[in-house]
Amino acid sequence: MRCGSFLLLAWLILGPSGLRAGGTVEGVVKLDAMKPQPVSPGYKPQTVKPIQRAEPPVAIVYLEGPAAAVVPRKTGSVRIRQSGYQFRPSILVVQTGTTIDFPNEDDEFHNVFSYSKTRRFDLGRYRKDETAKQVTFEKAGVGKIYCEIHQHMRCVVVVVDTPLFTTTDAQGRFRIKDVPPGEYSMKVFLPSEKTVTSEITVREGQMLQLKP
Amino acid sequence: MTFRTRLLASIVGVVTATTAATLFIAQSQNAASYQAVLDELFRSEVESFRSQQEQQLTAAKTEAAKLAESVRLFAALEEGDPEVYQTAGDELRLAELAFFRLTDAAGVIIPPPEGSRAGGAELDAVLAPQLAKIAGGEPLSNEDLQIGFVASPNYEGGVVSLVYCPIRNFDKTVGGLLIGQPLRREKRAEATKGASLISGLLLGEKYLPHFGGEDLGSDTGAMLRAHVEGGEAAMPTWEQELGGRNYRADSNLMNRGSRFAPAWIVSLYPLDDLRRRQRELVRRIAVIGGIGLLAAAGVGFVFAGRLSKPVHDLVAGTAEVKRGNYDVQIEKRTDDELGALADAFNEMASGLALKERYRSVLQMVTDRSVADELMSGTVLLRGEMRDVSVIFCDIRGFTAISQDMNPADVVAMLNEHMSALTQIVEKHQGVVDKFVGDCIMILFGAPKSYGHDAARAARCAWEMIRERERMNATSNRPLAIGIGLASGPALAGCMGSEKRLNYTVIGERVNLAARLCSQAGQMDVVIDETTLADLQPEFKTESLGPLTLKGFAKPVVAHRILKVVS
Repeated sequence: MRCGSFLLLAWLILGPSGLRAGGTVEGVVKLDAMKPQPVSPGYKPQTVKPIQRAEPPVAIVYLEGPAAAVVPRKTGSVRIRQSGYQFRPSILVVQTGTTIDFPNEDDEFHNVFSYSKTRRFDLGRYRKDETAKQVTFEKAGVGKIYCEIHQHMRCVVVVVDTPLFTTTDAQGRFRIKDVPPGEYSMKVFLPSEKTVTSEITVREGQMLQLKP
Repeated sequence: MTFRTRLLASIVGVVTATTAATLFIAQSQNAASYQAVLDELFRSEVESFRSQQEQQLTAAKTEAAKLAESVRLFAALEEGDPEVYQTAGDELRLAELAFFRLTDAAGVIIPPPEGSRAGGAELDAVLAPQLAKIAGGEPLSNEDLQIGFVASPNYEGGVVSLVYCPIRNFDKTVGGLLIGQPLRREKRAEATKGASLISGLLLGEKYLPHFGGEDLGSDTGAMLRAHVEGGEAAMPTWEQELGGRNYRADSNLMNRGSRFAPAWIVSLYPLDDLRRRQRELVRRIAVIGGIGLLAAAGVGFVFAGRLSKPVHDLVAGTAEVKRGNYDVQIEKRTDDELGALADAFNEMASGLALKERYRSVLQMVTDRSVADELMSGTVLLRGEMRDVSVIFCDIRGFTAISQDMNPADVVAMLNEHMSALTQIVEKHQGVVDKFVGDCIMILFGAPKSYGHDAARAARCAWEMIRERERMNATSNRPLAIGIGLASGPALAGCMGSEKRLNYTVIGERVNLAARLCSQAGQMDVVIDETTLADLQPEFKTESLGPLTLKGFAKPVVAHRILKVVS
């Protein structure tokens, strides 16, 4: 494994598969040095309601490999809400071709834009009662989304070209089920926006537990 | 050195010292006041520059602060968006800026696209290293605006002022924004208007004067730079020679704390004109002082002459008086104090002359020592009892001798005789009391005693006899004398009427001396017992036995001096 062991604490557990075909990959990602939570920016005039805390940072884990091609695409509609002056969720993984809704649930204007190469867009400013605007992400990559009005609001959308992906919990734990047997590149997108890669092999009916 | 020379030297010295002191005070006052004026000029210039710069920078600073918080600019820089200049331009809207630049996180200038509002392409090469240095240091916060200056002939005034701020969102610096505006110095401060003050910015080794100073020389910047870097803190002002002229220079760092290359405002004040005026002032004071000196010397010469002549006269007169010439009179030249002094001197000299005449007369009519005692006032006019020795000496057979002589010859003979004997008396400190015809009365021990008066009187009498014998040996009229000597208490004092007094002694011993004189044989000295008691062994005497004398109830024992052994 060529990934930095201090960043990724993962192990492979081989075990009886569930009802579905394929193996399971699970493990724990050591969430790296966090960027400090944005402090209250002290807007003047103040926001109508208090700014709510951002979600705890999490990591994205996804598996890339030819064997993944047999898995059906996950391109359903996904929502990123603007609620409590935060994007929720603040980090999201989607497969290419997914469309994301950006409903504004706050009582003030928000703006959603991104200058990322993955998808450059600007939804302009809109209010709660206006129709939520949508963006379809066709290209794999990382998209950073901001609100031009509230400089503390950030969101990261990781667009991957595989349906085998998940988001860790706040402790870094993850599990990907129903993984077709085969060779994979397992990639972890950390809160620091670094990506670490490791090569794994998944066998039929086995649980792969990743260890450091 | 004479009084006149000293007086003249003093006057000239005082005038010279006064002129020198005036010169010194004028010069130091002048230097201090011009230093204060220059300091004020420099201060006003820097103040004016700072306030104008502050005014011009306010807009740029506001824009920079606004953009530093722009989420769009942050996002565009973070993503390296190709339209970042467009984004920045939109955010700046219509702000009036000469140019602006965006840099990445490492301080490298992001090249502006064709036709953007960014402008100022010619400065990129100059700015690149400075921006890299700024970004290379400790991370700057959004408030850490960096102020700098750069020379550019493309802008009015030749200098562009720069504001740089990092573009940063919370913890992450994604790049920076640089805003440039031409540095305009439209007006001078009120205080420096009309002054020949040159002021400008020193950037690197370039000096860019914005007021005055067209031909300071090409190496001005390098020379100023060397000084400013060497002693900026310790010596804010100094003297600088530029292009053959001297200046007073003052430097102030305009962007303290900035990571941009340091920019100093350097003000220069030409000293040549100031120095020329100072030299002119010194020359004038020196000329006035010189004229004053000449006038003082002239007046001093005349005055010293007028003062010293009477003083000189006085000195000469005093010397004459010292020599005994009391008849000296000095010329009264003025009616002032010196004239009064001359009068006083003349009166004093006349007084002395008169006194001297009195003394001479007194000495002629009485004995010299009595005259001296009388003059000194030690003689008691009421009389006193003294132990005295009295000599009477007369010429034997004088009546017979003088009978056939004409009076003039008698007087001449007597004078010769008396003079010779008087000299002997004086030699023995005796006092000639009086001449009575051919008789001399001589006192010892009055008016004052010299000790052993009786012995001295005896020796005097003996020598008088010897002197007469010597005279007789050569004289065609030999005279025989006889001497009587008696000692004892007698009343001494000035006696006579209220208008005429004689100093003399009276008493029984005086009478005895006169009687003994009549008893003495030719060329004999007859003395009484009292005198004999006082004589030393060198006197050889013989007793004459008791003599019956007129006026004395009892016979008196007398002695004759036989010889005196030398």
